[in-house]
Amino acid sequence: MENIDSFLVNELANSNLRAYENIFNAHYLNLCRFANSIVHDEDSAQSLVQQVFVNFWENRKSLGHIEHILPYLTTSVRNICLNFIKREKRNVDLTFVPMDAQVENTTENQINIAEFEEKYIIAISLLPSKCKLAFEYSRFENLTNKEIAQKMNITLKGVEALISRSLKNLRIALEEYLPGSKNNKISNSFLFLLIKMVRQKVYSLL
Amino acid sequence: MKSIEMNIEDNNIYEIIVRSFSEQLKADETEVLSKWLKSSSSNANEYLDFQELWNTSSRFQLSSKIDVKAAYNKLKRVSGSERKKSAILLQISRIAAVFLLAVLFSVIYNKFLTEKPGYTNEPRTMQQIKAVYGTQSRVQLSDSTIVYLNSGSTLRFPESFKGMKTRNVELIGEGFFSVKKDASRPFIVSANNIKIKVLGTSFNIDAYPGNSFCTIALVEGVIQLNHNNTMDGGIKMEKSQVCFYNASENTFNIKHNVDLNKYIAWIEGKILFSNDNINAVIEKLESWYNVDIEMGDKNIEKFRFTGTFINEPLEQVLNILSLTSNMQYKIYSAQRTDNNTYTKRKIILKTKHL
Repeated sequence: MENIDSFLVNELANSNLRAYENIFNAHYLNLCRFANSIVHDEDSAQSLVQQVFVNFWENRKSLGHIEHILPYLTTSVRNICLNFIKREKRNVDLTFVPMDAQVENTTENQINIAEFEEKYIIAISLLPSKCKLAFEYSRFENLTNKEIAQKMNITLKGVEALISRSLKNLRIALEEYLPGSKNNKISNSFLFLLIKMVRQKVYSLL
Repeated sequence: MKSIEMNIEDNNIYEIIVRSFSEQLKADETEVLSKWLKSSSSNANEYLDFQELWNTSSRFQLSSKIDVKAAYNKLKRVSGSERKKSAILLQISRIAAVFLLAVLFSVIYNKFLTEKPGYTNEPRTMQQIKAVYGTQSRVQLSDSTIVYLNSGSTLRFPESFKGMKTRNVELIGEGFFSVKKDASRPFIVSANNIKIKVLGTSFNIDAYPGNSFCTIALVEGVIQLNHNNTMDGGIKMEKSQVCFYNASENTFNIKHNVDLNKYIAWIEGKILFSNDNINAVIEKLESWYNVDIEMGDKNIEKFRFTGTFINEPLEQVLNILSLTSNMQYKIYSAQRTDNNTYTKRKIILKTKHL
């Protein structure tokens, strides 16, 4: 991955349009997903991500220090989105937090959550390609495992194996943001609530 | 107990976990999962983490499908890759765009916002003014050009010159033109098979239909004479020149340094003869008083006349001419014709028989 990225950065410095298009095609969609998770408006998300790509092209000569392209882009997207929210005086709509939660909607939490999502998007892109494909089909395209099996021409079990492998990889990559981790970055009260919620769901299974 | 452990091995626990997120588990699968969760806290933590990952990923779902290819093309248009062009080229294209815009506007203006005789088939409202016989008329055109029309002369001109490339008028008879200067729109007088093109001058045209010559006297500036059907080339005339155009022979004959008074005296109501032969006198009087004048004998052709007449009736003029020369005249009153019109009065000039 490192090799590919530094190769692309190098080509970009030579104004190679195909390298640029390659990067765009690889990351645009997931960057839009990430941006949308912050601004909660798909049109704004798209235009913000496009702005990031415009800046990316304009700065192409001075990207020599970048080893990984996606983290650079996600950080750019995160910043442009947070500025957009500030400018638009929009609140980050943390819809996943229940209204009765005793969680303070602190800036720190918002930033940590955005950071989590940023790392998440990067982690997804780093999944092995088949895992990534199966995971994205399942989570983003809302396909059933059966449909994914047909699309990827593998067995149902194969799909479940790919998705579970994805989850394992993601768990390792995102450990510090997950409830199972002891020193995770998301505030304790929030974590506590989350754990409680999940436990409830889990126990309901039992 | 053994059978459950067998189950865990057969149905990979992670596949059950994945299934548990997306669909209803079967009874035995639920049993396997709860057993696995209870067996250790690390198992429970792992499950919680998976669930968190699963839930968080749903935040990345989009309600509408994003067309990456279209987005890339849009991006290319809006900004980025086009900037590969050199800055100079960009600068040039900017300048060119400004010029293009200017040209575009002028084209639109010329083509659509103004009417041109050449471009539009719309008939232009023409006005016609005719000076009554024995009088002179003064006309001011819309461009402030002033035209004096001599007795019985007709001027046809458009109500307005707006949007015309040239200011075109037609003259039958005699007229004095004091043309308002407008370098962008030449003033063109069509008279008796010739065209007189001017920018801003004053000149006299004597183009009465019956005359043997069409006479153009230039008081000021420069004019260009052309035949009716051509607009290029032609003859240039300068100040104080008089041009005689012979329509039948199609020839121009220019006289230099002429006293122009007798050509323009009519404006003040004067008829001016200075050593003119009888033909010139006859043409002048015929057009001025709307009469037919005939020569009764050949001897009169040799006569020359000099004199100034100011607003005098025909009889008075003839009287004076006959007093100062060896010529007599006889006036025949107008005759009623078969179709109830009247002929012109007829005057016959004869040599006096002493």
